[in-house]
Amino acid sequence: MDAETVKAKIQAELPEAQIQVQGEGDRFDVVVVAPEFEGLPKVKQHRKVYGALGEDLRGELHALQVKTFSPEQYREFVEANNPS
Amino acid sequence: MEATVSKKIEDYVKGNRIVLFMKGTKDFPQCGFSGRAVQILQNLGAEFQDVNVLEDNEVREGIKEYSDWPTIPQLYIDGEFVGGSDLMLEMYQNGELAEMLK
Repeated sequence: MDAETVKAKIQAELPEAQIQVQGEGDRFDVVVVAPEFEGLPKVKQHRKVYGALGEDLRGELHALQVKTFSPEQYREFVEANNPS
Repeated sequence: MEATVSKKIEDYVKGNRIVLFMKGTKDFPQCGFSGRAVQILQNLGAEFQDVNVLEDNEVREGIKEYSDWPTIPQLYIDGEFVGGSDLMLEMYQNGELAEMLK
């Protein structure tokens, strides 16, 4: 699997999302910022990303690191990590 | 999932305040993500029960259905599913996990 495929699968589940995927083979780092995540606990945000990848997680994708944010959470995250 | 498997998982989850379903044991993790989860709990000084899913294939598959979560490790606190290793790290860094473990 390549990063574009992973991204496309997540995008299909979360059409409004900004998605970054890094990695190849069975190891990927995924960052998803989605308005759909607004008001959802992190566990549910992650479940949506896992849901998009479905059966691939049982086999091909061994090592997947996921970070999820609503747009507001992402702004807070960026500000916290890049103090001006 | 078979009733016996779901009962076994429930016994782990309800019988211990903090339970980590993982690959390997806390003394000998057999996957980087499970190792990271152990380290986080140990850094917080948490006493926890480890369950090695590599030794029990029924639990390995059953826990994914039980929690509706496709990956291992999985952390339970007070009978509630908390998350996998990515969420554990995030909640460790922002202090939420320490709060839950009090």
